[in-house]
Amino acid sequence: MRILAVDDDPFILELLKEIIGHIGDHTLETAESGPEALAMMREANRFDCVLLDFQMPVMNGVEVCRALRTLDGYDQTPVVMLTAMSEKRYIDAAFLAGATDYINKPFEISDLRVRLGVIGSLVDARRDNGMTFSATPSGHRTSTDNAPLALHKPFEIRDIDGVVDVVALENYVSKLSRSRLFGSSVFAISIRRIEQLFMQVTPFDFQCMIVDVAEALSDTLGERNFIAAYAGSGSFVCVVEGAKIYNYPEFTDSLNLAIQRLEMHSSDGTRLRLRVSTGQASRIMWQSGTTALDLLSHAVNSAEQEAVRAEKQLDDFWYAGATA
Amino acid sequence: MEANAFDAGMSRLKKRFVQTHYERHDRLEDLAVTLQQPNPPASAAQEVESILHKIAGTAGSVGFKELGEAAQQVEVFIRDHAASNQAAIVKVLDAFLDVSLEFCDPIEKLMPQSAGDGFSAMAGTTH
Repeated sequence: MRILAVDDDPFILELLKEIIGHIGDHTLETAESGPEALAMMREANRFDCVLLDFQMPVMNGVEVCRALRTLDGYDQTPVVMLTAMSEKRYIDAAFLAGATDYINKPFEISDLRVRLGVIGSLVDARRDNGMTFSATPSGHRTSTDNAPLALHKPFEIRDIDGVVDVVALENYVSKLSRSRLFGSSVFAISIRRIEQLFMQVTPFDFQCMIVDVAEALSDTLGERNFIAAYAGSGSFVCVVEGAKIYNYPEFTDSLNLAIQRLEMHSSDGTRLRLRVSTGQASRIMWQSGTTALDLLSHAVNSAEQEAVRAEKQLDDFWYAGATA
Repeated sequence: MEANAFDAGMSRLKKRFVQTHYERHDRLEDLAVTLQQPNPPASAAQEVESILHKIAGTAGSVGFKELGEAAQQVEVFIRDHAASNQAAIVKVLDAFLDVSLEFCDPIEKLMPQSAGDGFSAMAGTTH
């Protein structure tokens, strides 16, 4: 990979040159400030990955991350925060600004090797799939690629507060778990009758519908600290600060109301009526990386089961009414 | 051969870190004195935080894990209490300087006496 490392400490840059030269088939260029890095990125779309320090004069890492996301060719470039800042508020700010991963200094060489390997695979996959972003009628962006859209396949949603891609969310949850930052819980919401909706509309309409639900989710979670991602199959997984402090039925009602107010339509003018269900929340505890990710799967499974249960209950209600 | 080149590179960086650390330690001593004066400038605490941040970010990667951890603890404390508790900042900075001194002394024994000698002695030094 072609990597750009940005850090105001020349020693770190030298250390990275030594280590990255040793751990893989990567080339490294360096910048000592955010403005210098952004100027290098504006020159040409030549970096596959950006390593960003957090605390820097003039522009901090979060500001650089936000700025580089607006540059041509860098809307999907993996950004890894490489920082000594270990408090949760910095981790949250980094992922919300568009970071893909977060590594604390001092870093272990083996850890850096593994993370860069994973990032390299992501870069290759996105390049092979020809991933690009398309604007939706609501003014947001969603990723599209060469492969046909499958219901289970997650895609990226941009420009909605608190909504990140699912790879970043997985890294975020792993980071909280590894760092023993246990103040958050994970839950998911799932769109009911999603298979039927998927069959009913074009792939792009389906993506626009999901983006609209993301917007309603973001508005409903409002001022609460949260990070959410689309996980595929009409489900969003959300990490919120605090453990089980939500009134989930009330939250679900508010979200469904927000969705109704959007008055979604497909491009042929058909009104799209959809409702969501919320699954059970789990608190983030210390777990190995893999087990931490199981939390996300459990959250999604719980929401999908609740969606099926709610639809069945509705069917039973109508059936009972029809036979009464 | 490649591993040897990597080890040599890391040893060179370790030496660089040690040399820089002496300068940083001296500067932190000066800043500790400044912070004990009445109404010290806000820039003093900021500079302490910045120096500790750099130590915290690099020490562990070149084998000085405990030094880096101590720097990080004090850095976080200063970041959270910079405006409210000057006396406590001086106290924790003093505690860090004690830890730092313990690292400085054995390091000094291993420092090359001139530019061209003694570097191989640093290669295996970790704390």
